[in-house]
Amino acid sequence: MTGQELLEILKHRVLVFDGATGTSLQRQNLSAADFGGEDLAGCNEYLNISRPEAPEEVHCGFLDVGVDVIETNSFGGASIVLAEYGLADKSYEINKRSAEIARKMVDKYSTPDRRRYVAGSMGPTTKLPSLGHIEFDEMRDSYRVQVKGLVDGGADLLIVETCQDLLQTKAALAAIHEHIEETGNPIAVIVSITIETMGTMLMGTEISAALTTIEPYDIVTVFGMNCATGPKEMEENVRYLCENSPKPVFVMPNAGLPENIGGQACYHLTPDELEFWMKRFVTEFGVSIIGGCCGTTPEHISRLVKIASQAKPMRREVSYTPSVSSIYSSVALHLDPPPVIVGERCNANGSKKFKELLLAENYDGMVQLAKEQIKEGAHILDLCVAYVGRDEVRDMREVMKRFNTQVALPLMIDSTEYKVIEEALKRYAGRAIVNSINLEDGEERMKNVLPLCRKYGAAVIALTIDESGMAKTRKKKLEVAGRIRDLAVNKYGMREEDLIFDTLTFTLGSGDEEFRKAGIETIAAIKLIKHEFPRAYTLLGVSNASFGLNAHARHVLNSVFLYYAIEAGLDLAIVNAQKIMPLYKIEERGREISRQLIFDERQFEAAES
Amino acid sequence: MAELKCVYDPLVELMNYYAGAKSGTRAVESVESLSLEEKLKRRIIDGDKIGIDGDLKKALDKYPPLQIINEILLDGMRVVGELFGSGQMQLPFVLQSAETMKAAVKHLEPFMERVEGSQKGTIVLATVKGDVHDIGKNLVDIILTNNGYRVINLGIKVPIENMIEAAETNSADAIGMSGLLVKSTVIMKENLEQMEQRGLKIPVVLGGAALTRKYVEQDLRRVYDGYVSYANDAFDGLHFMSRLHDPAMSGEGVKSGEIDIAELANVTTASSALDKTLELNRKETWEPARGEGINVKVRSKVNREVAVPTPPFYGSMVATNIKLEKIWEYLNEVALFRGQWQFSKKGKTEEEYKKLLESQIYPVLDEQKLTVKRERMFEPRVIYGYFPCRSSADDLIIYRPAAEEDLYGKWNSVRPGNLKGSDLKEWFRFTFPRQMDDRFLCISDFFKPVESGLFDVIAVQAVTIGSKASEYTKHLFDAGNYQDYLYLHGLSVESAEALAEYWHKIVRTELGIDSQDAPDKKRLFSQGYQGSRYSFGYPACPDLEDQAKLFELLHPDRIGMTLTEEFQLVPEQSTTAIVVHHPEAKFFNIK
Repeated sequence: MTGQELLEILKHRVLVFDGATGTSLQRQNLSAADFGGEDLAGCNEYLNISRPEAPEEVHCGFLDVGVDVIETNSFGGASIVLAEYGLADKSYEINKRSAEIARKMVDKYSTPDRRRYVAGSMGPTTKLPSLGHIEFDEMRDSYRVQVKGLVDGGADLLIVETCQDLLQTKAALAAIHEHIEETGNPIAVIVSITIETMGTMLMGTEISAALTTIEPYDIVTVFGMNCATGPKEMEENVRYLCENSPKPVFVMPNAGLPENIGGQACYHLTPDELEFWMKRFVTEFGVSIIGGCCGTTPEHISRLVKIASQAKPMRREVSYTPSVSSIYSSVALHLDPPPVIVGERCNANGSKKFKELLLAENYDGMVQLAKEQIKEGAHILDLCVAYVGRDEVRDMREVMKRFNTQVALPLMIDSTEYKVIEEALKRYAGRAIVNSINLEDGEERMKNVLPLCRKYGAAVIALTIDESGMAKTRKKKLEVAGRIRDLAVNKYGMREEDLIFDTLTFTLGSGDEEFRKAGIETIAAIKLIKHEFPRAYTLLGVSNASFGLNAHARHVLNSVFLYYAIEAGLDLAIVNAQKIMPLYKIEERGREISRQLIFDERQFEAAES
Repeated sequence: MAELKCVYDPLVELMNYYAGAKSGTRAVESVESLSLEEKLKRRIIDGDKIGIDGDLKKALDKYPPLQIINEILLDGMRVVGELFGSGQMQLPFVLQSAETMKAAVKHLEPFMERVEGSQKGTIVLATVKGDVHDIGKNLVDIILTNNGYRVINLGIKVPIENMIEAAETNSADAIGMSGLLVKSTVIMKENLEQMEQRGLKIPVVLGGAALTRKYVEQDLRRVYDGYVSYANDAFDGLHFMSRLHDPAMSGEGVKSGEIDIAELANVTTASSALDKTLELNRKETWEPARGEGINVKVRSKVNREVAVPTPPFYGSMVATNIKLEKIWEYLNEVALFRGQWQFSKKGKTEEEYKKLLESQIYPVLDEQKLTVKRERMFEPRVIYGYFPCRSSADDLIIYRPAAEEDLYGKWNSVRPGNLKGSDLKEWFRFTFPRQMDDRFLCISDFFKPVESGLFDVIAVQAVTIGSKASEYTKHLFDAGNYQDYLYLHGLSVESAEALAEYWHKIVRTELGIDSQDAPDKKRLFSQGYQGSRYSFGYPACPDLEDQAKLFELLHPDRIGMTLTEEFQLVPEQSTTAIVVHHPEAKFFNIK
């Protein structure tokens, strides 16, 4: 089933997933022999091979009460988990079997009027890549085998569930992405994160940051949450998702908070209670897919079937502002009041201090410099580790390992090297901005960078530069922006809102006749681009405008320039936040002269000759 | 074609204008041309502390440090006081001047010899017991400290014993008490009575929003033999301290209060005459209703046939993840700008004030909002709920499910729709006071009476923007960042109010009574909607102890709110309210 097909079904009905697989298997009181020996006892996934009747029984139990979708018994089927039982090399077979078993059951129950589906379950594994437990590539490759097994065994869709670390989610999505690219067969994907009782994901990720990170992935059809708590504790986050997620919302709670009784997790939520909450989620909030996680029995699930049979899918009104995020929290690409400030000091080309820290490989110092910029007022940080003679991929890896979890602000990855960009994206749990693409060498750069942005869900900065160089007039800037926009959207599958146009400016400080109108043209171009591409964003490195002047004049001119750029619709500004003054703090005369300079209000008289 | 010659080039102009200026300094020629003394004074008035060290260094070559403070810098503060008093200078700029003064004094301190008695005087300052509001008191602290007085600031909720003790150990010359609540004015009176009993004579200055000059000078002076003075603003406090040490004024006359009473003779006579008339009028209305010692039941003419709206649920729920932008749509800017930030309109035309708004006030607001967002300083949280209720005379009976269940969440056994008496049992009662004149209103009248057999619904809400804001403002104050302190404190107070307003809107929407809402949000601040939102401690329901009952209903500890012994909310930036849906429900006074 493709994502489109799933969306079409969700237009007409609320879908019901099955209940707990793991806890249902536990209830069968299986012996070590059932698991295939003492060494394998507890490896639920191996039951697909050693005792397929066990998962079959679980599936039947739920299909009997009328669910639409059953999950394969493959939660821990990635090789990195199976390795704990010495079964790493059996991953493909185990996953394929799990899907075949589910397929067989589903086909028994499916009728032409009422199809049932198999969802290939992909759990979070036992490792957290953001904490360095495992390398991204290794995790992705492990998931690739699982995806192939599940798809070959007949799964209709995939569910990346119980996500604890967004970098793990991204590794699973990279695996699915590669599988689709390779086979050419798209498949619907659900991503479901787990919000712990403390209100964030295990790694501290807020629900808004998780939504920001997953939302740009076009391969993900449905987004939601499961596990950790009962429905009551999920209410606030379910409401948040239903108000903010452009993707249909999935909710699969536990049967209440688990209570430890004699070393056993017990779940006390009654079917009545589950029905009460889930009905609210569906009819009042507009949740599209419901199911049960740990502790939910066929009796619980029969209530969900009842809700779905009575409810019509609700139309939600969603307000989503495209955003970027760190592993912890998100920042919208347009703030009110503007601008979103991009701190420029973590740049080995622009900041002497950062360069020295990089050369000394003083990573704590670099983190410190990043944190200082948070205090100075930055919302996003530019990060550039390019330095002549150094291994930029290695430097990016080392810096990103730390920045991913130690810097709370979203990052802008600034490099001309595709390998460096991918290295950074692979280590970043949140949603980054890539800096940048342009048309200097024709499509070359877009061809290399945009597929990475799509694969990792990043936004991208597009400079108004083409084969003839930096665009100088508003007309040319708009024309270049238009070309980039059309290629990015029509050819490379990006969305307009993923694009941030940098209209660039030249210094007004040289007095060069050629650049006298640079300020007017840059500001006018911002206005034109915002008008022509209303969903795209604009950015400007403001301090270029004053290059060559003394420090105080720069300070004033930059501030005034920024004011007029914002007035024209600028969304993001790369500046040293501390060096920008609000207009009212600049004395009248300095402000006026700066304005005259920006708008080239020179006065002329006819010369006497 | 004639050749054009450039006669004005802003680039050349800009370079010349800032030639030689270093980043961060202001190139203002006029100040440079002033004498050193004038320049320092100007810096105080302008609140310009960057580079003041250099000027002070030069001044030290000519004058001893104390003389610089007393003759030059304080002269600047005097001008600031005058400008403030006449409405020409706004409070935020006064604070900027105070910060500059503080920086200057700090710079001069190492050069001063420590001479006992060189101190101009010591005052103990405190917000009285049961009150947590301290912005006014802290302003007095700033102004006095920066004018060379020693201030022992005891903080909030201070019992009188602590004030007396601090005054004795520090040999203080005066005690200053502050408080925002009406209740605090009563506490001040009790405090003075206690001081009188101990035979104290130390002068006392009182300030606070609920105080009036008349109350202080007539009622409070009567209970205490020492000198008692009213301070309308921080500069009044300064005036008070300076007079205490003025040998001509600190004689018996002042201490017994004669001079001031004489000054005010005209005013008091006139006002007490007016008061008497009012009191007579009041009595006339009262008597028939009350009878002599007989409890006559009165009731207002409030319509009892109003339909009861259906709430979305009974019980309560927590809401977090509330967007600040949404809250700020309900920000009462007039209250913020004029009330909190003290940008007064006094002496300004409409046009001038508008210009001030655009050029200074809004940019400040934008900047503060950004800071708040960046630091994630506000953590807005709400608990609200709907409860079945009925009235019985002055009582409002609140019901809970008869079945055992968790009361703190949405109720499962009692759901909106057909409420049956058998599903409910009495939880507790609010008893609201009744007007004894005018319209004989009582909040309970707005709900279906028990006799009707019907159940009504009351909404209750508790909102907070969290404790981080209070911590941060305290940090700003301690760091001497007075201007930012004022801005942020004001914004945090008004944001809590805005959150309450916003949530009231949600409640009206959920009850389906929002069709009467004024289209202009500003009108919501003057109750441009159906029904009313009442907070305890305000005129219609003045009893602060009812907070405890509200806490029983909602358990706001779930969002980190607690109640002090004096029924004050912690964190400070929190409010609670009951929401009444009845169309006739509006604010009214219990006299």
